[in-house]
Amino acid sequence: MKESYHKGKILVVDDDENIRKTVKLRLEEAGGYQVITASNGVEALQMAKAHNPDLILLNVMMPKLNGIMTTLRLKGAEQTKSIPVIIMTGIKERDEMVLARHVGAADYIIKPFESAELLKKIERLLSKK
Amino acid sequence: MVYFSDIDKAKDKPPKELPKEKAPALDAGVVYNEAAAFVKEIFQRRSEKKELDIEEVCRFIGKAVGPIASADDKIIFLTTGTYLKEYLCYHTVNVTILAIKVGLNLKYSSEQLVNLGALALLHALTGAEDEGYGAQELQRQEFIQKFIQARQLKEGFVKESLSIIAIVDVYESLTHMRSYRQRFMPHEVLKAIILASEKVFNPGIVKKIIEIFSIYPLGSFVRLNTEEVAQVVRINKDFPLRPQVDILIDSRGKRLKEKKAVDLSSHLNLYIKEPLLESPP
Repeated sequence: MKESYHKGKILVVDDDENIRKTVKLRLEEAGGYQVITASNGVEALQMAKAHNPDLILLNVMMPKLNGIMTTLRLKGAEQTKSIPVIIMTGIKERDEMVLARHVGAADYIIKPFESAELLKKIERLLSKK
Repeated sequence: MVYFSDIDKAKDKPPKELPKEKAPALDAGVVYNEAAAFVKEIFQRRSEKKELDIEEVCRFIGKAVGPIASADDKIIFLTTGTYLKEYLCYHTVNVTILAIKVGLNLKYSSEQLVNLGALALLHALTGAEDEGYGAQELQRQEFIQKFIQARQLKEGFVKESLSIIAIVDVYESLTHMRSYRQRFMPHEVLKAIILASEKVFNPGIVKKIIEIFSIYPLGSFVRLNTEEVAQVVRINKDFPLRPQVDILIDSRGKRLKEKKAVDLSSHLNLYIKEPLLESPP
């Protein structure tokens, strides 16, 4: 990804390295976004404060701090409370999607998902900003 | 560190009618088990693809509100129990009981408590179906809308009730283990809820919830600044960080033959150093 023009900065958070790499590649190449990544909730909180992304794509199931608690903490911090969060979840953990909505996540997406579906959600949320 | 002064004060509310006839105090265990049995039966019928009878739910909540209201704080302690099997069932019971307790603290009338309890039960219950999330969510909204229309509930009441249910749902879920994740400590969850309240939750309701759940919930174990280990036995609503405790283990790590009762609100030299995840050996 060139340093020049990009449509927005997205923080992708997932403990699975393959998912981080795949999503990053798709968002950069197909979406034209600048992508930074984190491998857990604690790192995500630090990176969100340091890099002020336009949107955060957050896996719900992660060791230490899961996606729900991470979202809650993002919404509780002055610097990050207005950043829209999309929760990524597997079908088994779909109960967590109700919680995601309660804690202020803007949207959710169920894994595995198509790039087009994700890009549509991201574009819709960023156009509201 | 949690700063209670950060929480906005609740908007003044007109006094609401209190239940005129106070039910006699009931054993919390009996009340909890009856609620669990009812919800299990509903789940069983749902698994047999039988229609959910909203009126039946209302009748049950109508009968249960009095006992839940008059049961002592032990019923809140019972909602902290560990469960993995039938977790959706116990989650539904807990969310309903806790929502009713919050409504009581907000001085809701008997009728309002019934409506709040039924909304809580429908919210948790209809989130537990086998369909995909989208279908589940549509069904939840449909049930809740039917209930709101049938009861002719006012928009303000519905909004406040759904705010209570959302916070209780988050608190209950995150403080309980799931097969796919660990639980969080109550104080961690409450702290996160408090900090996010400005952006996500109703701060007035969050304040009421802290009064009920306490940073250190009933039955939880804590370490004091003296290194003694104690169990929280009573919450001091005016001093949420200073509950009444029973000291079980002395500062050298020896279990006491007889527990020592201490009210931390009147022993200012003592304070809670940290909550403990598990009970002492």
